[in-house]
Amino acid sequence: MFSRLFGFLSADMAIDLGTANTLVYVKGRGIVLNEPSVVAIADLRGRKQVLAVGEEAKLMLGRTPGNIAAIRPLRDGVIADFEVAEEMIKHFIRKVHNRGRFASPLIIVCVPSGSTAVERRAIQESAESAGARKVLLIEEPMAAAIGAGLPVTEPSGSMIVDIGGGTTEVAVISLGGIVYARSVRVGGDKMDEAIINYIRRQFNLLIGESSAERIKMEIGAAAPPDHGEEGPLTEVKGRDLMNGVPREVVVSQRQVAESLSEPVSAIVEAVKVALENTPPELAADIVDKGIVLTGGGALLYRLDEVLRDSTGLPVAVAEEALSCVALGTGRALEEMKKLRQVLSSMY
Amino acid sequence: MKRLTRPEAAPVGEAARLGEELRDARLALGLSVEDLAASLRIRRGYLVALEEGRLRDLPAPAYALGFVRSYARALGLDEGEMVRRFREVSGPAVRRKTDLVFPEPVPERGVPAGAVMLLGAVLAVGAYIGWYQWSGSGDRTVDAVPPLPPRLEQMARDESAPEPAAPEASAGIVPPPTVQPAPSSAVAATVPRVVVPTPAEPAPVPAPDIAPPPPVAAAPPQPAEGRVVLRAKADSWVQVREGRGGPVLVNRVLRPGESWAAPAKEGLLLSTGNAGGLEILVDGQVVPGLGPGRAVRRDVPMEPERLKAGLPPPGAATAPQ
Repeated sequence: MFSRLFGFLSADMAIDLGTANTLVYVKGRGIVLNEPSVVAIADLRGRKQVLAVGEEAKLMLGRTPGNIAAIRPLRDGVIADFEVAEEMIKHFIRKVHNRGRFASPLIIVCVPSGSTAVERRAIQESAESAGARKVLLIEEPMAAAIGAGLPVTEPSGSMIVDIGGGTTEVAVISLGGIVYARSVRVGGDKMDEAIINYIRRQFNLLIGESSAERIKMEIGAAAPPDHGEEGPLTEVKGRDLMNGVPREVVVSQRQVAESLSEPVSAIVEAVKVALENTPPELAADIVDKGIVLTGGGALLYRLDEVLRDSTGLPVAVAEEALSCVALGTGRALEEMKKLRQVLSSMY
Repeated sequence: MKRLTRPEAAPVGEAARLGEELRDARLALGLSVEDLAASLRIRRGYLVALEEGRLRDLPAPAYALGFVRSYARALGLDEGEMVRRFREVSGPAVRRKTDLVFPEPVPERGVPAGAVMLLGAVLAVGAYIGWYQWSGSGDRTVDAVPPLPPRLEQMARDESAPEPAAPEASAGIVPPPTVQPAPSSAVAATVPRVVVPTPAEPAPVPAPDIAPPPPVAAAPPQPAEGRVVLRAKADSWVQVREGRGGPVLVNRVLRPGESWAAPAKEGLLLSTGNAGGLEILVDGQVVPGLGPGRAVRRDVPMEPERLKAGLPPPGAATAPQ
């Protein structure tokens, strides 16, 4: 009964609860928050307390003493640590409402299309116990397509590839519904891992996740530079595995591209499988208009070229690829009546 | 494939100039449209439309922007700048969000449920108001009782019912100007009840409340009526009972001029609080009164013969018959 009353005091939110970053869209205000999905928890004499969330907590990642744990509550697009995820959502709700006590907003959260009912329920429940009045779910590829501005409601196929931190979602959408969707658990995290493994193998150097992510963003590429060039270089610091001392090495784009070949080919494979499973009429539409890439992974240099060459289709990276999902979820929030078809609830 | 319907308000010249720029860059590189279509996998038709500034022929904005970006990059142009300019020239259609209209199932034939419910509610309210108006208008008891048949009314007016023909006669109070509904349960037992209106008062009469009066068919004309009539000269309380402890036929104060006709029954007992203010008429003639002054008389037998002969003295009034 009070939830209704408090609803007036709260700004409804759309949350793109991503493995790497969480974006919050507030009704009427747009995207107000874009922070890493990291929570630092301190163990103070047996009592667990949230120390930091977001950017601040990300700096602590991999640099924590024994009593502090910097945790990423989401893995592969779904909740891995229920309580920490709840704390994180709670923090975001408070932050959006300027620490207002009675905030009880309506929240739309997006879920990977490949998530199970249990995983969806976990996301919905954690958002509810974080203080939401009502929680609705939207499938990530649909949100991404809406956010990218694709004509999803037309009787014409659109293919969207959303490469997030934890998962890559490939979906064919027509008439406002998902015709075919495939979710592979390959994304930015797997790329970072691939870079870590490559550098350990090649240089006997152990680097952290943050360093790997930085390399990926600076010189990462889906395909090696043409004409046998090495491409731009960057240095990376880590711990030498042989003698245990810190060391710095220089890696080239060619090397990074080589290391990323495995996750990139997994993404290409997922797109190909999706194309194979697309009904012929929709496949014809996709041949005409092509594939749209969204998500942080879409910004990987030359990924569109690799996909274009391997599928033979035009490939475009959406404008504002990083926030497409949040924008689409936000649009579902703004036009809830019109877009209610794409929203669901586990209850 | 559905083309984007886009208002051609945007400066067509601008779009064509942008396209020309793209074409010049392409020609400078010595490439044909076919070459680029093959390498970018974008259909030749779209590239030509782009170069000629035919925005109508391009697919949805999200795709068109992707084409521009890829094309500009392939030609070595500043892709960000080209995309920005393309957004400008293509007008509001691109900046605006794609209109999303989800396919809705065609509503079932017939009136929508909401309208049906509204209509039902209106009808129900109307029916209630109608019933309320109808039932509330006028006096329901009067309405419920059928009006006196004209024949009986005529007879009643003639006062042609002096002798009680039927063993059971009726009694009635002749009211003063104000119409009063039938004197309820006490009199309800007496079957055919006809009121004798005072000459001045032919107004609406409470009529028998048990069906149309049987006299019409069964008893020959006259509704029976007693020979004794009480008439008040002054306010006097009157009570008439059927024998001691029997049912009370009347118990009220008669106003001056008001009269009450006793039914033709045996053993009626009269009590009054104002003996001097009450006249007793037998067969229309005044008989000696009950006594002077405001004396209280109890249980005076209302037998016409005895009344005619004069009443027993007050002391003997209570004597048994």
